[in-house]
Amino acid sequence: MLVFLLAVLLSLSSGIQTIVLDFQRVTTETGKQEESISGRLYFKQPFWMFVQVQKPLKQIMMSDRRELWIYYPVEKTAFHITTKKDNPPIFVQGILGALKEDFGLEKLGYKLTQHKVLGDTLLTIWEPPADKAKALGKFELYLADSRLVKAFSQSSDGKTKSESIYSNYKKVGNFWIPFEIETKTKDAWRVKQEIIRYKNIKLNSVIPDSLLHFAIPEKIPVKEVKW
Amino acid sequence: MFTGVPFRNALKVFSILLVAIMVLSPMTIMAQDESTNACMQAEQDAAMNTNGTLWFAAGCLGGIVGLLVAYAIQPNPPASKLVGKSPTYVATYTDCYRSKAKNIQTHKALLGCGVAAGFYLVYWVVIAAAASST
Repeated sequence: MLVFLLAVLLSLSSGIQTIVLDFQRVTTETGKQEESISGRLYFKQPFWMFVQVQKPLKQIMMSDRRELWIYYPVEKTAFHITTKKDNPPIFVQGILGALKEDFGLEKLGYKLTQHKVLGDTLLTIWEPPADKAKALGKFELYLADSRLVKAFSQSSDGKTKSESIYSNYKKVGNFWIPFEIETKTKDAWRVKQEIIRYKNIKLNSVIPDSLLHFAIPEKIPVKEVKW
Repeated sequence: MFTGVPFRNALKVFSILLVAIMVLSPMTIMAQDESTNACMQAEQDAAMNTNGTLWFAAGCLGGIVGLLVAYAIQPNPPASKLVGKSPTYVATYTDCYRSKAKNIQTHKALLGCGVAAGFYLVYWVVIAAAASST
């Protein structure tokens, strides 16, 4: 929920209307094999998203506010999922978050409670608003050269801890964008590591109409699912 | 004894069946493995993403209403977990995630509701005892 709110608020406030990029996500988890997924993503604020997965299989995911389509052109099957809650955009939250020094937390009602200077790094500690303290956890943000380099968060019950490292910053248009985000999540059962690498990032470029108005071919059977 | 056309035909059918079993068995096992893996992953993710403290508090403070809300609210699996996954995985993952998350929500809210009811009971017993002693 928090990630979703952040993504929407950040996309609306950043001046970024669209993002097009190539991604590779590598995940490793305790006791499991490494998994790599790569493809191309198109995002139009605040909710529209089109993901073309190339590896390990051909898959198209398109989502808008409360609808999600998953299409398999090789298997010739598809899902149409309707949700009661808004669909959060995926893969772009990290980029949008890194554009703000406060990660967009102030707009969510978070309060800056402490700050420390650690060498060339500024550490800021953020507590959730009192009325949401049961649902949201605290954040620690590390900034170097006015860029977010690390974000640490934990769930309100303290059971899940997550640390993200933002690196390989490059300038795209007027924005400094991290081209690699590594996240480690720990809970009672496992340690999970996710590395997302971005390539060919384009901001505010025109998204082709063929994608904006993409429809699953009529002959493909679509499984209707309600969440 | 084992010669002639009928025997050769039977042998042919047997060979085809054997090859079919050899080819299809690993595929069936792989599909089962994928479903099992998807369900296990979904249950772990649901346990991680569902805020037990929040639902306990909802049950504790909201009582029956909190419990009903916990039962009525449908948890959504994260779409990011479905990227790059097969149709079998997607179908299994979403079913298992929702089932597990709802189970946790309801269980925690029920626990919260029970604890609140226990406190009320103790409170009224103490009040009643105090009233009867005066």
